Amino acid sequence: MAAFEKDPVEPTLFRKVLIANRGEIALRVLRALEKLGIASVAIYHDSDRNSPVVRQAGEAVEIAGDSPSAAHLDIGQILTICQRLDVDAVHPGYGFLSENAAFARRLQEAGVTFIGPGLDAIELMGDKIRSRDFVAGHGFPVPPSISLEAGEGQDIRPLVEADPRMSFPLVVKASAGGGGKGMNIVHSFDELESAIRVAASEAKKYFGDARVYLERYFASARHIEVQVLGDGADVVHLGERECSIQRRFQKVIEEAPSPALDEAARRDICEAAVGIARAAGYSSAGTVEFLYTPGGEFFFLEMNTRIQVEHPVTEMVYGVDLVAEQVRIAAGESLGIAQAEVSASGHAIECRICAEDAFNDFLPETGRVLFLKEPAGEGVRFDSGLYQGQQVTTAFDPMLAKLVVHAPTREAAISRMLTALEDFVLLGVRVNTEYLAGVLRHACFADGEFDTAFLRNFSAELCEASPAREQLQAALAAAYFSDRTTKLLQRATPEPYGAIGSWRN
Amino acid sequence: MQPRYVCDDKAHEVTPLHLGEATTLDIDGHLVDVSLRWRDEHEGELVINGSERRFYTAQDGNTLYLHLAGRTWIFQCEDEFAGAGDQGSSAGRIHAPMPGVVVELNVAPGDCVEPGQGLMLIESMKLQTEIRASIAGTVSAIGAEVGESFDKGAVLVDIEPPASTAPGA
Repeated sequence: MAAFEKDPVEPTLFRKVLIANRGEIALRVLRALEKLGIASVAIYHDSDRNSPVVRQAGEAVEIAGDSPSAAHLDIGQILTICQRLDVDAVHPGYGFLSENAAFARRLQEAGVTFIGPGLDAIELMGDKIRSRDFVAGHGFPVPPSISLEAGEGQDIRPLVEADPRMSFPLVVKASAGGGGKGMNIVHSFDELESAIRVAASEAKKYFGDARVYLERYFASARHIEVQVLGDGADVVHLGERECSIQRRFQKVIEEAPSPALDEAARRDICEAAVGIARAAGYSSAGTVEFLYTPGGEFFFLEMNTRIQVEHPVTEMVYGVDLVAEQVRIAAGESLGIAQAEVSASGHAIECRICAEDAFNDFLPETGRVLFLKEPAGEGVRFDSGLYQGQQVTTAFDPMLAKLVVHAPTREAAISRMLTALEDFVLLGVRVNTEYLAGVLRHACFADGEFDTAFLRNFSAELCEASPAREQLQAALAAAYFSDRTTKLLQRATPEPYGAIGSWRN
Repeated sequence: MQPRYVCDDKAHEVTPLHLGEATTLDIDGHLVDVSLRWRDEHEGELVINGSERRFYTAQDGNTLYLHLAGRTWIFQCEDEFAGAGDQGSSAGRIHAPMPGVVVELNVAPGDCVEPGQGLMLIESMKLQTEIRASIAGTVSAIGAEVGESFDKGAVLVDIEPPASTAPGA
């Protein structure tokens, strides 16, 4: 806790940092820059021109592209802005260019610091096939897998049949993938070909690399990841995050610490993560992801060389500002903290607020933010780029904001989250808050007994509760009075017939 | 006037019976006493059957959003003159399950398809979904070409059942 707090007045780390992202993470990076006293530049596509980061950053520059995503992936435009505005470092956030080695190299050539690990680590960990071999080579456990050659028409069946450890279900993953993109579970040879085709197509589209690999899929395992911080010389860990509550390989609820680990298991998995990061000469914040089996075995999945969406749960438990640490390390400062000085306190949970119909197969939802009331209170953090009037489209990821709570115990954190979810009001776009509350209230979640298949296995129980008649009547009465037509009629009706309560406006 | 509010495909009727300090509403055939105080344009307090509830509301066209006790309601407002608005959908007509864009198109008008056959690959918020044929028949229309975007509910593919089967009403 206190160990991470440095002098408020520091030598200038960078003159000016460009935030190469949007939404909640762009605003999160801006907060860290403000705290460190560094000037900021936001870049934005026209569709985001009214977003908070554009209004709050020191400078804001519009970027153009065929689509908003294309604009944020346009390395040339970003480099030009860096040079024009005398930017000496870029924070990429997550997604977009955050793990793009070509981007890091182009910045380096232009004399601009990439706030993240070195090129070697990005390249190594960005190639899932290479990184698995690297990790296995250093004696850490990896799951059974088969790499597929690029190109069409490869007969996969004999390869799978020849390896006794490769039994169905299997999962197809993109070598350049991550974050659940380009992944598909298959249960039989019949599904395999189509799954590989879809995965390769997604991989080509998002990562420009169609290589995929097949991995044994553990139907009942947890996804546990370890936060590490390295400065190129030393590496410390900041404990683990439990990320098993997923839909379509996308995390929905994360927490720290994991209810599955005892002290011995925690030490083993965290030390493995530190060992992997150290072997890679890692410098910056990073995350080592593991599969954790019911038998207590763990396997390396991948290492993410960026700040992760779910970093706030670690920040709340360890009292650390991970984004500020990334900036300091990128500026050449050393960690300045030993593993023995790192201490955790309490329990944190994060819920991802997504524009989706969670009760209808998580189909994406769109709309305009008509009204917004953010949750607040002790131990409540809301990382969001939301604003009233915002148009939520299919152009970006459905995650709109992150609600994070911290409390002394897991039980208290769950209860605090339920209250915060109830307090959060977003009208105009359907979001998943009621679904999230349903998960938190589920007995298995409360007991900490779940794996990555939890949401699928309990989908029948996690459906929309039908409202009590009294609740429905209250909603219909409120709807009637809120309805514009009623309001117009009320105004047109002369007194005393129109007097309803203390009607205003 | 008899306003109607549709939620989850169910229509509810709300009829004001008595307007005064407290209003009596007939909600789906049940009489309920209600009074209401607005705090601002979006926030109100409702007293219904003696208990007080805070709510938040916003309206966009005929869609009314309401947040009450942790639950968000989305109502379609209709008046008594509005028709049901239902469009007859034939078994072979495939509607977009979500807004998105076509990334791959595997059939053309005139093609014969089998149930379950992959017709197109669509993408929405980085999620790819394969659209499959619902029935056997002949593709009569394609609603969106590769690269084109579409709204939720738009017709993506229309399949004409074989001539021996009478077309659905």
